[in-house]
Amino acid sequence: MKSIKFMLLLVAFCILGATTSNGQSQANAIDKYFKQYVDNQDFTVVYISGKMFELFGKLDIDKETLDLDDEEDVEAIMDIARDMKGLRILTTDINSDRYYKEAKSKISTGEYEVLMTVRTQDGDNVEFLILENEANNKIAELLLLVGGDDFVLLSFVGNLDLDKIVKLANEMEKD
Amino acid sequence: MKSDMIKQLLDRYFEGNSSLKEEQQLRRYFTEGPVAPELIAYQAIFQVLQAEQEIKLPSDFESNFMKLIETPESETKIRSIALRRPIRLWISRAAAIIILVLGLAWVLQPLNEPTETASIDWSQYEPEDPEEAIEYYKQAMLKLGAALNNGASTAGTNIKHVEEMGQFFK
Repeated sequence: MKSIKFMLLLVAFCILGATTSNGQSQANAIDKYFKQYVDNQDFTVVYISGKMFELFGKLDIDKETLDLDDEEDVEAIMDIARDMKGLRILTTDINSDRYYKEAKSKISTGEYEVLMTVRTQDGDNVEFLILENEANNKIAELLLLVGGDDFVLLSFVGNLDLDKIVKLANEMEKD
Repeated sequence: MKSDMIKQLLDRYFEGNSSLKEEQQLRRYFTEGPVAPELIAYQAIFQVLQAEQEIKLPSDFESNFMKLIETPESETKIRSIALRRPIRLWISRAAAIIILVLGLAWVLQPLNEPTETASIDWSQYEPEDPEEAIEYYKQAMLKLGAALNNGASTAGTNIKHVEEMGQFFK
């Protein structure tokens, strides 16, 4: 009996070890398609890790710290932060149109689903792409491409809920 | 006369009807006495039989045998065999577990996120100050919200439209 218990423990440890080590390397579109932009001096690159997002939860954040007018905006933003595992921002004001077009053509639409494409009169282009997590029907990655005076590439990685993001947009619309 | 009698005895012997006494007579005839030339072919059989009769176990055979069995050396051998079996069982169990776990890990691997490991060292782009990090995050969220609102209003519809689209992902 003792040996069986020991073996079960061993198996449990091994499985635990295998799954946790796999979860750490999360794929994202920037690693996949935009590696050269990260090295490109034209771009400003910012990365916020899952650990940092965990830290946000421990901080005391209100509308003053975020410099926002509305407490509900803060709540909506911090609610999404709990689902975040990584944020990558790439931005440039050099050759922004060319970069936007290039970036758009690079993303595999077989893998990423286009949620929305917008072109405004003043020449701003916006492309929303999402990578669905089939296991829980959440969004594993949300990719936002913004073209115009600046080219901005945003990659939100995590377990994102589209409802929460829409809620934030609604809150912002109210102000 | 003697060879005739021996012939009769031989016939009985080969038919399997001879008595023990008759067989003894045959053996004695072929090993001791002069053998009739027509019977010489049978001599070898009875000589071998006689020789085998004479082989005896040495008198100390039994005591030697018992000594062999009872020596402590053979005792330890028996014990070590008894011990080794569960150890071997353990090794095979452990091996089975390892194979099982490796197999599981291999099977589960494609289910996880693609393991295209990032060669980019992202940590160098991370702000050390949480306040600064949260500011970037806020800006990103505002951009996202604004883009959503912008998209929705440009399409001439309410943001509700996007909410409806969201239903596909539930």
